[in-house]
Amino acid sequence: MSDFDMELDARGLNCPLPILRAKKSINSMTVGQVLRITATDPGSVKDFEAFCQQTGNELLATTQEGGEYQFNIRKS
Amino acid sequence: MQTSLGFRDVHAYPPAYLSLSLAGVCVPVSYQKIWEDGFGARGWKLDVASTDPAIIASTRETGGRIPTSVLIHDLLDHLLSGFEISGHRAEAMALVQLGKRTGSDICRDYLQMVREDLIYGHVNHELLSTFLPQKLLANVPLDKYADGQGIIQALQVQFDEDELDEQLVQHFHDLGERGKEHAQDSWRLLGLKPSRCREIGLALQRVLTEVDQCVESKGIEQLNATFIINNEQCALEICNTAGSGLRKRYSSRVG
Repeated sequence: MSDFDMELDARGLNCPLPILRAKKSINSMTVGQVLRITATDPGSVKDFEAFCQQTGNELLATTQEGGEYQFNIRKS
Repeated sequence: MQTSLGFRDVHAYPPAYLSLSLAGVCVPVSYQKIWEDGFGARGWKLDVASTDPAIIASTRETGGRIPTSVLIHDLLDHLLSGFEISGHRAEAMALVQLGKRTGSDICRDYLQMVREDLIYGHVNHELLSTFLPQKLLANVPLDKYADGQGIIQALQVQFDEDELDEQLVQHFHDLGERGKEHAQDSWRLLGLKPSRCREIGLALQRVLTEVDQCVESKGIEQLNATFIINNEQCALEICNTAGSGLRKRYSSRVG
């Protein structure tokens, strides 16, 4: 069983597009659901931290492997 | 909700958003290290868009297929082309300008808006029932399907997924075509040559790249500045450089 409810492929997108698309995805989810985002822009690490701090959504995990970043965000 | 056709008169903006001087077209912009706008991103916004909840700040970063940033898209393809800064109708028209300016294929951008917004019944600045063309709505009983999601559900009964995507993308293309003449007229009214749009975009990007690298490396919290654009040169003049370590003016030749 996967640990997320919806997945967003933001690979190849640079700031600010991963955040913009993540916000759209989260808007369509219900509270408590988890969005997994895969991105390649190194700036997205800082961006998603600030995004979660400002929106109150919970950044559950950030991982990096082979030039790709994965973020799990729980909608609050 | 009021229906907007997405057009703006470039001469009707207050000087705080867009003005003409002997040096060229002047467009005020603002920078913040963190925007308190529900996105929290670092970057720049046109002042005309600074309170628009749909607009996210942009850095110097360019797209994989596009050599200019989101800020330059907002500036050239929306504001100076005489389109609203946000809204799907305006975006359809602005993307035609982006495609012309950068040679990028805008079909995938249209498809993305279809799959991320329209398919959920969501359109910025107007109702889906006013946004969609009559030929698509002809067999949708609007008295029964009053909201956007209902309209999409009714369309999903009539068309399979691929067909509906195709119809909606075609509608974006049709809307985009409607803005071509207005965009050219808007550029000319501002004294800019539409044929120079690619070079002007690249010059603006060079200026933005230099300034954005500086403000990021210096950890600057907030700045106000003005882009000054003409057919030969693009510049960014910083309003208050005291203590920032920035120059007063950054510029790049067009072409």
